[in-house]
Formats: sequence, C-alpha cells, structure tokens
Amino acid sequence: MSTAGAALVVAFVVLAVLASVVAPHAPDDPVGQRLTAPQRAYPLGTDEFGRDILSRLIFGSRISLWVGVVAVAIGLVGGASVGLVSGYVGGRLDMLLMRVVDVMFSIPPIILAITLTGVLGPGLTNATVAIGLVYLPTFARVARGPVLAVVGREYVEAARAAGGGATRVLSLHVLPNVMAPLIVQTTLALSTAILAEATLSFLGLGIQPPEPSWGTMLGTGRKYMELAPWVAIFPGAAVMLLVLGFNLLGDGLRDVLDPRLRP
Amino acid sequence: MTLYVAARLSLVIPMFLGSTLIIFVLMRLLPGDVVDQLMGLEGSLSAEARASLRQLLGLDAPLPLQYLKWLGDLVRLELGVSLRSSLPVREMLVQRVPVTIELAVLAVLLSMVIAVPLGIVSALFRNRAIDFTARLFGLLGLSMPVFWLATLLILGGASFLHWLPPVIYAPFWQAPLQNLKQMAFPTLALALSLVAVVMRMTRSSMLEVLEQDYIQTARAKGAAEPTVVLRHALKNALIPVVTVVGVQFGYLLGGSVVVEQIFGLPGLGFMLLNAIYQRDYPVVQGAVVFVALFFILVNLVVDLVYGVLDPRIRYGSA
Amino acid sequence: MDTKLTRRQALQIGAAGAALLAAPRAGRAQARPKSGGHLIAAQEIDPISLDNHKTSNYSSVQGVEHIVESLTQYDDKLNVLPALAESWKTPDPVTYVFSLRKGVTWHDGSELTADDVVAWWDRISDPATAAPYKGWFVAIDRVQAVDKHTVRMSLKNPFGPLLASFAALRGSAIIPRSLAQERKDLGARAIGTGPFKLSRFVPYDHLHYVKNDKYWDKTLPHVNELTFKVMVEEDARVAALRAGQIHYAYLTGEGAARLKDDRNVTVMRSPKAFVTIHVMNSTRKPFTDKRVRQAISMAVDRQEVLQKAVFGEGTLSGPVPTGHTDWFIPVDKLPYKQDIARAKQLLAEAGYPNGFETTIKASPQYPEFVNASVVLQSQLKKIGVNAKIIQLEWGQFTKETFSQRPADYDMKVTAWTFYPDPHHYLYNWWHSKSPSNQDFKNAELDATLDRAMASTDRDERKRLYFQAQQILLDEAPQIIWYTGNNIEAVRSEVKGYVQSYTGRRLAFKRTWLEG
Repeated sequence: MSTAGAALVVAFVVLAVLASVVAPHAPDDPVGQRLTAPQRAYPLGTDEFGRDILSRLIFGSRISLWVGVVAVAIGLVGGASVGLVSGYVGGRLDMLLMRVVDVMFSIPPIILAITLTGVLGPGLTNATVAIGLVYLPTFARVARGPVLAVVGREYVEAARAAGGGATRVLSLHVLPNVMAPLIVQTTLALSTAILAEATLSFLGLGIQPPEPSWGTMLGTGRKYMELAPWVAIFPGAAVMLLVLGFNLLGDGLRDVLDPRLRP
Repeated sequence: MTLYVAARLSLVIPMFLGSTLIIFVLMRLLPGDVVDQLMGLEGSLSAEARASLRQLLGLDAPLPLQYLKWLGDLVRLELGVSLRSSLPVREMLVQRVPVTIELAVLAVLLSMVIAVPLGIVSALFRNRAIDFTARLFGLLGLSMPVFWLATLLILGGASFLHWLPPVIYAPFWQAPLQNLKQMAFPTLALALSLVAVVMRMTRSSMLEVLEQDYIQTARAKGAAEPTVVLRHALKNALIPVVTVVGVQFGYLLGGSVVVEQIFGLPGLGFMLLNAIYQRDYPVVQGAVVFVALFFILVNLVVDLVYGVLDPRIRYGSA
Repeated sequence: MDTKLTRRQALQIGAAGAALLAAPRAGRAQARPKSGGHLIAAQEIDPISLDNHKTSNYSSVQGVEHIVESLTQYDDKLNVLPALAESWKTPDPVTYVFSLRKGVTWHDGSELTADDVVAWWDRISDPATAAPYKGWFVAIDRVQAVDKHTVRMSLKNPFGPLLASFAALRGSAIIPRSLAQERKDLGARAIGTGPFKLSRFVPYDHLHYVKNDKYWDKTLPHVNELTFKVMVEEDARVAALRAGQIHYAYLTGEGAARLKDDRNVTVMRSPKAFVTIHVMNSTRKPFTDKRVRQAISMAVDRQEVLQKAVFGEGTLSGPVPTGHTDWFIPVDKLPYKQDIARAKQLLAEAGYPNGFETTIKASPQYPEFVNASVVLQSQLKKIGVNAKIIQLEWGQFTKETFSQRPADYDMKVTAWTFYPDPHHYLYNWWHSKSPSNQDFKNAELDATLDRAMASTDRDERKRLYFQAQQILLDEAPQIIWYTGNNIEAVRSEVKGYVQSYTGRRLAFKRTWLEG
C-alpha cells in the first residue's frame, strides 16, 4: 500500500515541479468558452472563466504541496519539540507547557485559523502559517503521550538511575516509541493541511484568485455541479488522490517502522 | 487518585484565563471594528459621530481596561450584549450551544461505532484484504473536504433518495424525530471525516500493544485469543484513541462551522463565524469562552479516563 | 414655482393609489386571494439587526420592511405612494405638511400620532444614534406636530428627493415614540404599523412574523405567517425549493439555471438596482490624470465582465442604474465602445506608454466582486496595466477602502444598491461635500448637482441629472459594469408576487398561497 501512496505523491510532486512544461496552457488564461465539457482541446473541460481545468490542476498541485509541507513543518518542528521536552522532563515544566498547549487547543481550530488569517490577511503564505500554528498543539500532544507512557516504565527508570544522560535515554528509548505516532500524525497532518486550505478557501479566506488552488476550485465549482460537474469533480478527485497518497504512504511507513519499536 | 483529580481541577482557572486572553487579543488584532461594519459601504457618518458611537459601545477605553472589565463581567456570568442585534449573548449561547453539542456528540459516537471495531479488525487481520478495505474506506472519508461531502450528501439525497432534511430547526426535546432528521446528514458528513482518524489510531495503537511483552506473556500462559485482545490489549490500546476522540470532540465544537452553514443549523460555529466577520466582540468572546470552558471540561474527563485505563499514568512523574 | 402638488404628481398618486386598492395582480385572470397559510422564504444574508435607524446593511431592510412603514411607500413601478401619510401639501418649497392616516395602530395597540413622527426625527438626529442614513434627511430643519394627525416639516433648502427618501426605508421607519425615546438599541425588537408583526428573531437563523389583524389596509396581508429562514448556501436554497420546503428564494444565474426545468418553480427575473463598479482613487497617481481613467474605461470590455461575473444576468448601466424610472441614460447611448488603440494612446499622452502597476482591492465576501476583478485584471493587461488583486476580509476591506481617512486603495470594487433618487447616486458618491466621498472632486459636477437638488421641478431635475451623468462618464472616476438582475424563484403555490426594482419583497403583503 505504501508503494501506491509513494507513487501518488511522487507523481504529484513531479507534476508540480514540471508544471510549466507539462501543462498545455497558462493557469489563468481564459483560452476557451466558459464551462465547456471535456474534449480533445481541453481534456478536463473549462471553468466558469473559460480557463483550462487540466492546466489549473497541474499548477494547483504546486500550491497544495507547498501548503501541506510548510504548514506541517511548522507544526511538527514546533509542536513535537514542546511535546518531547515536556513529557521527558515532566514535573512543573510539563504542567506549564501542557496548559499552554491546552489553552491553544481550547480555541476551535477553524476559529483560530479564521481569526489568524483575518489578522494576517488572506493569501497563500498567511493561510499556510495559520494552518501550521493551528497544528502545533496537536503535535505537542501526540509527541508527549507516548513519551509519558515510556518514561513510566521500569527500564527507562533503570536507565536514568544508572546515570544515562538525557540525550541517550531520549534517543535510545523514547524517540523510537514516539516515531510511529509522530509519523502517523505527520502524514495525517499533511493530508488535512490540504483539506484545511480547501476549507479556508471555501470560506473565502484562503488563496487569492486567480491562483489555481484546488480548494478554491472546489469551492466555486460546487455552484456548477448540475450544469458542469467537471468543474468541481476533477479538483475534488485531485485533492482526494493527493491526500490519499499521503495517507497510504504514512500507513506504509508506519508498518515498516514497526519492528524498530520493540524496546 | 483524588490528588490527581484535585491537581487537574486547580489548573482550570489559569487555563481559562489564558484562553480568554488569547481570544481577546486576537479579536482586537483584527483590522476594522464593529463601527466600520455598521457603516458598511454606503452609510455616511462624520468622524465625531463614529467616535461617539465607539465611546457608547465602550470601545474607546484602553485595551487592558476593556479586558479587565470583561473579565469582571464574566465572573458575574455577565456576557454582555451583541453589538449588532443587542440580544444578550447569554441568550444567544443558550439557543445555539445545544445544537452544536448534539451534533458533536452524535458525530463522535457514530464515528466511534464505525471506526473502533473496524480498527480492531484491521489490526487483528493485518495486511489481509479486510484490513485494506477498511483502511481504504476510512481514507476515502478522510480525503474529502467536509464541505464537499456535505454537498454530495445534499445532491445525493435530493436526486437518489428524494429526501431532504427539514428546513426549520427543532430542538430534540420539542420534536425528536424532526430533530434527528435534521441531524442525519450533518452527522454523517462529520462522522465520515472522523472515521479514518479514529480507526487509524485504534489500529496502530492495537498493533503496538499487541507486540508488547505482557501480551506475549498472556498468550504464552495459554489465554484464549479473544481474552487477550479484549481484556489485555484493548484497554491499553484505547488510551491514544481516547485522546484522539477528545481532540476531535473539541475540534467539532467550532469546526462544525462549515457543516452548520451548509445545512442551516443554528449552531455555535455559524454564529461565531458571522460574529467574527461582524467584529461583534461580545459574541465572539462569549462563545469562545464557552467553548474553552467546555473543552477544559472534556480534557478533564479524558485525563480522568486515562487514569482509569492506565494506572501508571495516575501516579505519573508529576 | 408651483407651490401645491403639481398636476402630474397628483395624477400619479391618484392613479397609483387606485391601482393599489384594486385586485392584486397575479399575472393571470382575476384570481381571488385566499387568506391564510404560512409563507416560508429563504433569506440569503442574515439581517443582523432590525434597528432600521442604526443599520446600513440591505438585508436588515429586507428583514424589517414587513413590520415597519414610513410616510410614503413604493409600488411595483417605483411610484411614490402615500403610506402612513395619507396626503401632503407644500405651501412653499421648503415646507411639507403631512396629513397622517387616522386610526392606524401600532403592533402593541396604541395609536399612531404626529408625535411618533417627531420622535423619529429626534432619534435620527441624535448623535448617540449615529444613524448611517441621517445624511439623506439632512435637508430637514425641523419636524413639528401641528395636531394629532398633522406633521409639519421645515426644510433648510428645497429638496426634491424628500418624499422618495421616506419610501426607501433606509432609516426612515416610523416607530412608536416610547420606543424611539428609550434611546436603547432596537436590534432585536421591532414594533411598527406594518402588515406583519415580529414574532421571533433568531440571529443567523430565522425570522418569524405573524399577520397584523389591525393593519390599516383591511384587505391585506393574505398569509397568516411569514418565515424568513437564513440560507446562505445556494445549493440548499435550490434543493429546498425543489422539495417544496420553502416557497421563495433569491437566486443567482447559476441557481436559476438549475431550476429552469422544474415545473413547480417559476423563476422571475428583472433588473434591479445593484450596480457593480470599480472605483479608481482619483486622488492617487496615476488616476489623478483624467486621461488615465478614460483610457482604462475605454480599454475594458463590459460585456465580458457581465458574462463572467454574473453569467450574463444584468444590463449595462451608467451612473444612474438602468431601469430606475426614467432617470437613467439609455444603454445604447452609453459611451462604452471598447477602443484599445485609443486607450493606449491616451495612456501614452498621460506619460505611461508602457502602462503601469496598480492594485485592486476586493473582498471574497462578495464573489461576484472578485470575479469582476479577475476579468478586469486580464483585460487591463492588454494596455500594459498590471493589476494585482488584493483580497481583504470584509471588515478590513470596508475600513481601508471606505471608512478610514484617507482611504487606502488604488482601485476598489464596490456596489450601489437601491437609492430612491438620482441625487443619492450622484451627489452622495461624487459631490465634493458629500461625507461618503473623499476621493473625487469636480467643480462643474458640484454646481450641477447643487442646482438639481434644490429644484422641485421634475423635468428640470431630469435635465440636470442627465448633464451630471455625462460629466461623470467623461471624467470616468469609475468603471460601471452592470446593474444586476433580480432573480427570484417562487413555487407555483405562491400567487400575487411581483418583483421590485428595489430588490425588496414589497409584494409579500399582497401574496397568497394556493393549494
């Protein structure tokens, strides 16, 4: 399964990188009549402005991938560090950090994202940062849970008592146990970041036109479901495939890493 | 155990204050205010009139003072009135919160009913056909944006089932059947998007737990497989799942915005979204305060359940 | 100057009044209205507040127009008719004496008197109310109750648009003096004299009204209950209409197209006053130069925007929207011929032979604004103008482009809704003394508009407003795209509904349900 996932992801990455070469038209050029059905000239049809949907999808992969990777990177790096440190050190630091995390959690993510994009302004970068910040607490929690569970176990106590340095204990015992949930969470986050961008665009706060974000295409395409379903179906399929790709990849990775989780 | 509970409870207040501060600051950081909204694009008001309106609404005092005043009101359970409709915020919350909670509870329950058994089966029959099918099913639900799912449900319901949920909302205690009919599609849309998350967590957690020493020990001792699974493995496997479910529930309290908008449910999320656009500070602050409180409570419950499921955490490193 | 009502005015009132009292038109042969029933309508934007004196959003008027009334009202043809004022006299150009209808009761039972009208004036004038549309009534100097049913209004200067301004219901709703004097916010309470009483207002969800049995027009309304359910999603409105869950919905072109084969639903369309425009900031380079503005106006293709922003659902328009009685310049006389060569020439003359960079501010709150901006952007490329679209959240957008001083924008997209008189389209937006205008100034326009405002001779006003429109078309501080179509869909059970150019549901009180 993971190979299928990897293949999907790689395919989109290649498309994204080679977009200008592969796409038949520019993404914001109204080259045809509006809302034409798929045909030879426009394999996936044209949208409400007469732009070629295939080209927009190809260029859109750049945006989706960028949003996913950067947002998750922000969340992962920031959140996991907090979670690891907090769980390992424990005590008052743990309480404090987790309360801060909980406070961030207590504000519904969509509301946080909306308010953040409101403060930062709509647009690609700001939406990405907003999504990343919203993920931070999740990664912190996910990193901390397994750390706690491991830290309570005898062999770790033994290692600590035997005078093992923090780094040693962390890398030998804690890290491997934390890897799997973090990887799972990362691939989950990668996929949901793309979905989050679509939702923000649906609410009108995401990518600006005429940039070809899949999310915006989906959001506006809903209006034409009965008259010209291809306008929404293809972006929807694209989102689904990319997200599926990440998820399959994540699942596969998790299985592969499994044996190493043995203490 | 009581120490643990007491320790957890004592943190409620500082956490609460933290959330209030964050939301207050964020809202004030938003450019434009309610007076700009009132004017819209066509009203005309002199600068003095705007200033006096701001004063009337209490928006001209220095921010820390406004914050403290609001906190003071909060303590007396005074949530103020909407700057736009002048309805008391408390009343608005009382009207709308039950809708969202009902939706969140139903969605979480439905997702668990589907996902936990699927996750266990997936873990037990790992890498077999049933595992793949279950995971694919979950992933499909996860890979679509919720608003997309919702749209498909409406279209599908209208075209194939020739059925649509009733338009006017009825609370459960007034008209249970109508209420459930209204909740059907929104719950389904939300639950389907949650299934994969819960199922994956159940599966990976089960897998992890099944590899543990004590499981091998139980097997070696000759315990029957169902006992092994249900008595020993499941309890521990559920720990991360509980966290995930708790997180999802909290997420749903505000995250149901999209579903509420599409299905026209008079819930908290939709009110919050509009209040943010309108810069209706008392409504936003009141609503978020409520959600924060609720979330803190949910957290508490989750942590307590954690304690029940895993004794080691009860007496953790704290 | 004629000091009494002109013959034309009297004839208009008489004819329209008679038409009003006649059987309601249903478009078919004499159908007798049936009493009773519950009309459920979809409302696409939340009304937010029902306080007519304090709110500026149109959806608020739509939410409250069935509950409150003013001195005058509109009929379907935009004629100004008596409402709470039965008749009026103008002994001199700056005095209006209104005779109020007798025996009109408020929803709470008390009787309408002249003091209520005085209370309206006090509330609007009070700075604490901060009435956004106070400017429409700035010509009024004093309002006095002469006796229980007579009100005397003294104006500071002759003001032609006065009567129509009442009918437009922007801040002109008459409410019981006890409420008006409370000086509290009436966002969720609405008591009026209208055909329906407010029974429930749940913000962001729905409004529920019940029939006013004591309405002064004994033949109206017909239905017993009226519900406005807030349905933001067009998908939901279309689906609900099909399923018969709602009787009425406002739709876009796409929505209407989905319903065109449905035999149970009738789609009505006619022009309304909702004009999408792009405004160029005439106080900022390069738009300070008239040639640049003219070049842009000449380079664009308005039909393309009409097609792509609203599916062709609209008509081209001049500075006074097409369809507004007879105040507008006919479409075929509008100077909108596209001439890219000449546009480039003008730009070169102004010193920009290679075009320039600029920005367009829009808000995704109104997708048609964004769509129009996208098309404009691609059109401007043809003359070398590179426009970047900046999308702002609504609150920030109104602040930056409209309310802050000085406003911060190069080009912005906005709209005009229904205003009762060309004065509001031209004076409020383009006169240098108008508080809503900080970005444009033209002395000749100012002078013309001043004369038109002071005149009460309709023919003279029409002539002057036509002149003013020509000046604006020449100065081109804006690109006027189109005035949209009012597309409303009703189920076949709904009878007697007629569209209004104002975009309001004036006809709901004359509507009834069959079957």
